[in-house]
Amino acid sequence: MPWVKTQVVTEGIVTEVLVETQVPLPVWGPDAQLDIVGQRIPKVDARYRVTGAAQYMFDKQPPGMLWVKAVRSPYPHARITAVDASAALKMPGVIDVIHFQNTDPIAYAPNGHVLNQELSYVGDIAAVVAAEDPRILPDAVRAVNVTYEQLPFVTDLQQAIAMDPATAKQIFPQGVLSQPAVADRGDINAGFAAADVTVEATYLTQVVHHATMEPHGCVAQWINGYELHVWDSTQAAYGLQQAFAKTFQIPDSQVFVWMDFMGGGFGSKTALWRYHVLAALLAQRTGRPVHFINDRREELLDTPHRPMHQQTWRLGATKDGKLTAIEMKSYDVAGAFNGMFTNISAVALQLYSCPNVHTEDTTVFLNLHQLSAMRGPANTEAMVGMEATMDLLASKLNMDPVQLRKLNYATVDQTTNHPYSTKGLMDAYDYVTQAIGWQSNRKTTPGSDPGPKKRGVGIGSQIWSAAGGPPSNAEVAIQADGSVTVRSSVADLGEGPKTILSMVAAEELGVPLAVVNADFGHSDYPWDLGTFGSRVTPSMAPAVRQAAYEAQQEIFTIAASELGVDASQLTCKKGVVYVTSDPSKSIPFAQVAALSSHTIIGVGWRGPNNAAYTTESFGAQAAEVEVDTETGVVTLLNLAAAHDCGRAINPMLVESQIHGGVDMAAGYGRFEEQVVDSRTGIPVTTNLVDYKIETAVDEPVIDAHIVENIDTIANNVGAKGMAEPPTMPTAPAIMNAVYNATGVWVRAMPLSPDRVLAALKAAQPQQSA
Amino acid sequence: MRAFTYAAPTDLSSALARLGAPGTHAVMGGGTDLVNSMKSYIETPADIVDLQGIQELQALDTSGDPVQIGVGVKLVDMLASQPLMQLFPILQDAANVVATPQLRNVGTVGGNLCQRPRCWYFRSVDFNCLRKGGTECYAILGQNQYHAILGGLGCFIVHPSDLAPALIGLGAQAVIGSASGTRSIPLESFFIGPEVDVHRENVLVPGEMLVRIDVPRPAAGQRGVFLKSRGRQTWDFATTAAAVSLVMSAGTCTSARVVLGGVAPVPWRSPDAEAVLQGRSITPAVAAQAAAAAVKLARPMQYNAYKVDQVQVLIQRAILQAAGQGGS
Repeated sequence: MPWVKTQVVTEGIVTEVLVETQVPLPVWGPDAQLDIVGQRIPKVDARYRVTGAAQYMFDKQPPGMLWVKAVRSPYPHARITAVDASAALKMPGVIDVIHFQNTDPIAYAPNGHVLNQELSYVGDIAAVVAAEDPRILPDAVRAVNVTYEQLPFVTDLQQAIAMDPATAKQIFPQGVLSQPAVADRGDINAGFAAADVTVEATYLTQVVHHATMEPHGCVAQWINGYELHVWDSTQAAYGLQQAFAKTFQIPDSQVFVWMDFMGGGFGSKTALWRYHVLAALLAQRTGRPVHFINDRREELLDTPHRPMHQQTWRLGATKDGKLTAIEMKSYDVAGAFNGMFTNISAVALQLYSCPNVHTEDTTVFLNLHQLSAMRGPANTEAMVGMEATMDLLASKLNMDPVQLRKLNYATVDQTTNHPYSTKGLMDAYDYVTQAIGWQSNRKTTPGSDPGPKKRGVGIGSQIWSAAGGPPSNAEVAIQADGSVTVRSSVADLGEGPKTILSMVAAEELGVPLAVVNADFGHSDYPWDLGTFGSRVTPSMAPAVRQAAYEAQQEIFTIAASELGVDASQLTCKKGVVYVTSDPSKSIPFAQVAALSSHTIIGVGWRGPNNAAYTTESFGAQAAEVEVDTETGVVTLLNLAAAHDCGRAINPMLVESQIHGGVDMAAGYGRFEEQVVDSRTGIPVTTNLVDYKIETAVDEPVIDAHIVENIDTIANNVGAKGMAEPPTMPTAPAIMNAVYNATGVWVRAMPLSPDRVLAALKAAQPQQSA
Repeated sequence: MRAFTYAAPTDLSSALARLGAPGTHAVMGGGTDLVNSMKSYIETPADIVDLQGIQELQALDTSGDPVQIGVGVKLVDMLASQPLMQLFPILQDAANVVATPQLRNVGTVGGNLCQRPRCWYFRSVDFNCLRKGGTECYAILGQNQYHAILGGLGCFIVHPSDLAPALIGLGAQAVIGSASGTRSIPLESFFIGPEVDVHRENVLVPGEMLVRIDVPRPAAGQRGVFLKSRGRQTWDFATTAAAVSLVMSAGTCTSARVVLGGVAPVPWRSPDAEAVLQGRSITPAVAAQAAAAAVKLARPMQYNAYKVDQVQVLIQRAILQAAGQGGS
């Protein structure tokens, strides 16, 4: 098939990929007769997860293995002047201690080298201890005597904004503030001049952690001195293979990365991190397998996070509610190193129809660990400011906030002028407002409930790139007994690719789901870019379909000779190959497979995207809260979530994604925050009591609704990405609901009792003396 | 975690004898706080005396006066004791909101009363704070949203126990054992603030342990209520809490105890609030007056002023509920 260049948008990052056009298969449109796809089917690997049979990275413990633990900087910015490991090395079973002085420099993208003399945040790695017994490690780490020279630092955003450039350059060579990245559409000044009403507000969104149940870690082993084997908790086995090969200067073919089961990634496990390199380096030095896993404190200090922002939004509108101007200026906190996903301008440019938009994103460097993607990076944060300011505008216009959103509905992608392949946002608004009882539960006068406990409702919306795209590859192998193996490097993080891609393979092949086994997460299998950016379903499903189709063609060729017909006359359903025009002429699929003299392997890949359209996912959520205005406690009573995912290949798993996303973001909105002692630069939220994720008790009643809007333009299975979108509307819906309940804006997240009480108090009319 | 020796005696006298021997010992109930404290090097005992095998400490006797609660009684078993819960509903209020079901299944009464503070500076291995032998309380100029508004002298921890204010509200006694015998003191005197000793939270000295809590049987017309405010509705320590125990007679409060949680380095009894209630019929205005009296001396820091308002609300609500005036 011909090769073409196609544009791929992953988490807002645009790339161009050269890809072979796919074999054209009939698109599974709304009328497609499908046996398996669309069914509510429990995860195929659920049994192994809940019975403890599933092997996670931690469970991999090869004989002779060493355990390691890092010696971490207690200072936000320091230079190591001496390392004395002699006491640690005398402890029983301590084999090796590495640091910048006794190792050759290894390049590491974020900050120069893997082991450095200059450390840039509390928790930064000064040295690593390897020992035969993990129980000695905490004492051994404390026995490594590192002498530091403390250097100037900043961990507070307001201090950084106010800092003079000369001081800033002593902390980071580039200073603490970048030049703003500016984006413009139309003429922002003309837009505000045309406005009858202008509103402005500033929001603080906090650092939150991925807080994965399974910590970050890996086991590394060199086999025969030249093959690197790594068992990892990674979202991208193939990308990690390439990164390891580059770091250790060996061919990709000598690196094997395996991830069978994972306890959560959420964007924090997509890259090569320092622990990967250190584990492999120590394995190389000692000739033994090495097991590196963070404890919870290390997770909260030295894994990346969702960044902090100070966003100022200004909206202009005509008196009948048409937006004339959107301005967004944000300080985006990168941490000590630059990372992707600092820029949050996309929402301002895309969500609402508006001719004049101006955004400025200023990256801020602080002595904290770096950010990374986290479930809907950038848009989740930006949606807070966008959607709360829309409600502020609605209140100024004395208009229903949902009505205001519908008035400014964008029917085309304003950044390209391409139409959206599908957009189910209007249906989502209608569903969630109905479900939450918008008409009866919304306070037309915010805060009008009598008594201290006040209820209200709020809305939030969402837009997110959901097309997926190449590279995604799979192979479908037919075993001699007719069972089927689907192979790809794609990672199942727990959200269900093994299930839905098995369903797609079974559907295309015409075999029962039970005979299909998805074998994923191995870097030596056909490539997949990785499990992030809500890309797996729309990227991998077409690849698996093609691979299954190719394998089926071989099955038909063999069956055709047995049945004495042409292969083109055959159909396979429910594990039986039959002549389409005469189903009595048939042969079981397994019998055909047994006849083959070679392994039947179909190969499939993801073809190009449709360049004439933009494919995004859309959704809306409505929250109902009760605010105890005397204690400041916000109870999230109900949350209705409606999301447009194209085709729901397995509705049960789509709903599961909605539940997971809402829960994560309900914690973002109300509880979770990294707190840093700015005098010392030390984070103090380093356990899961002080760092407060949402618990089941705090979970709202969630009404998860799928706006099924089969997208026949996006790809041949009709599905759009759905993993991240449900995280986006929740926090602003809560913020808007708290305003509706109390009549007071709480614009610093999370909406914890202290912040709510402070905002309520500040809003009280001054007592006259 | 430092290496340690370990013993699991099956009778109290052996445990007390071991505690009396030279060396640094720690007693372990459920271990939920001790083990974590050892992992973060807050506690570095050379020897652990595990109390879980001692039946005597797990006794819960509601038949006499006082009601006797062994320190080894698990919170889940305390909650399961219908006689105890009927006698003292305030203990149900308090025990039910401790930590999580999993922790209540393991954690003990003694452990809840003797747990170390939750101050994030104290808990962090990166801060050598005053309470850990350092020279400063980092909360004073730092992130003090969860810290003390009352009774902080040099150190601004808050006492983390939910049971303690409720038990003090009931006039409980702490029975302390050592190799040389036992002594009984009011539970409110068991806890000590930083003005007495900044390195510990109670009067126990090496060789001593808490063995039992004695609670006097309730008087006629006695009713207690414990209310706790927190961010999350489970697995969270109190931002503020209030335990109120009133004896009502013919519409008049004849005796009152008001004890605050989450606001001071010790469970904070407020004689000023009690004095407001004494001899009065309880109205919302009287409750508000008592609440204001309780925080008269509050000195909030940069981030914890909300506690002054929040705890007053809890006190008022608890007073009105304890007086049978319902509502929340």
